[in-house]
Amino acid sequence: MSPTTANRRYALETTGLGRRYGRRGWALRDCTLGIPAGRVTALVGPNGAGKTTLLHLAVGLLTPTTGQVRVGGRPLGGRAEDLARVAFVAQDKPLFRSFTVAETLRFGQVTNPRFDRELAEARLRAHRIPPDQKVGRLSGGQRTLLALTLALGKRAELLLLDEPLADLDPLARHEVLGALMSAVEEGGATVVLSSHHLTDLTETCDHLVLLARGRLQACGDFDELTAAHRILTGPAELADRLAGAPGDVVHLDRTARQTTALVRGTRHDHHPATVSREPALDELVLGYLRNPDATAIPRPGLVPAGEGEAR
Amino acid sequence: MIWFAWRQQRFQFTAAAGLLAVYTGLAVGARFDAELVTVTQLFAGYLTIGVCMFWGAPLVARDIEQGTQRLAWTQSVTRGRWLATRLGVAALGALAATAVLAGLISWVLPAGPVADPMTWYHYESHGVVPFARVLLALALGAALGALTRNTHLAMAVSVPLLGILQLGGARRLRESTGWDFWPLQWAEAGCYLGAAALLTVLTYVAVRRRV
Repeated sequence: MSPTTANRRYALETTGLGRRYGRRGWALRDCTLGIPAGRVTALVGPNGAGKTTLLHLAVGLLTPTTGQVRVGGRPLGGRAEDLARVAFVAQDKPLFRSFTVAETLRFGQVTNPRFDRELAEARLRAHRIPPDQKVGRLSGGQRTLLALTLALGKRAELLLLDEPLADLDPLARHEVLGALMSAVEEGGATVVLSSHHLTDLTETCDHLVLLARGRLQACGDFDELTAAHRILTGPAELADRLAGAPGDVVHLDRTARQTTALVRGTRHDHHPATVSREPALDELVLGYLRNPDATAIPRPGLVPAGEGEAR
Repeated sequence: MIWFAWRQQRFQFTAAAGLLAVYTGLAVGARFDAELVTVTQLFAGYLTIGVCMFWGAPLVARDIEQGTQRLAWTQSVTRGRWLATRLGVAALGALAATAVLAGLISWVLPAGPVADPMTWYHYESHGVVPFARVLLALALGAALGALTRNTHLAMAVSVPLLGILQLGGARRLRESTGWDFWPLQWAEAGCYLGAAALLTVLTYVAVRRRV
């Protein structure tokens, strides 16, 4: 199902992307990645990993300290046409609280040449959000749905959502995800969703970008990534044998009796007591989260450097 | 786009209309009581202070405080155009309010005592100076709001600054030059407009740089 890396089209590419904030240092550093077009990508990492910085750079809210952002193969500048290509929902879902819902849509219409008012109105009707309601009186779930509707109405080629599911109850969460998925199916847009936990995203997304401490840890399709790793479970001495190849071990959990390790590559410990299996996605993510210094980058088949320019 | 700028400044337009209603009441009173003629001129400066505090200071800072600049700046409109539209709408509103006030003053003036045109309250409420001054007040409020990213701080800093500029700067210079009414009016208005333009550039730079 997943296209081969060579002919893959990227909706968003970054090369050597970095952003530094004065004395606070680098929020994102040396980030080279590609987000495949027409797919839903999960951007995962603990708080402070650089997710918001990456999204702000990709939407043009921030200018890079180093490197470059390309959307649909073209560099992202500050012109109105560039802004029209990316839609964004910020983490706190900012909306003008004194506006009504209808005025919010009018705002979308007057600030975006391609704004699809009919689509936006149909979505709000489906979510039963009354047009004459003041935004300040909406519930958290309704506000998220309105912010999402506004972003979808922009008809951009790339939709970036910063923690869209945080602070939502399970019902609202379900509705937001449903709205997002139907929009992707209808419009064929590329979506990036950030979250500090993966559980919400496993059913929705099929591509992963993992960040830790401002650096890229892993980037790839779910199945590519899991196929490129192994979980080794064996006796305690397994840990000593793995210590011989420290570069391949993402995370190692050693107790008195047993060692469990997440390793890169398909290598196997040829000891009869060791069991090797492919990790589940959440096991893989957890392993990387536990070891922020581990990185699967660069690796052939994951993010080929400079591929963006070659196309 | 103009609708959007106007919609966010609806409160300011309403408040300016309210303030003008107060001035109108004062002017109507002045037609009957000559003492109120001077009072109307004396109070004319409050429009400038009001524009600085409640129109200029929140113009950029309010959005940044509420995080809504992340919404406004990620639509298909550049920050330059966003700023130009809202500054333009605010400037038109402030100029219109100043024009109405100037009209009111010229309406009540014949009812009052004959005053030397160089008296500060006459000089500052006539000619081109009130128009240039209100634009400077707006630009000052907006620039401080964009730099401090805090409406209340911008309000608190901009008004004393405006006062120092008026009392310490303009009035003192006026007395020392000994120029006639119109040359002085044009020179002063020119300085105000130049300062307003500089402050607008500063606001633009701050808006371009910030998230």
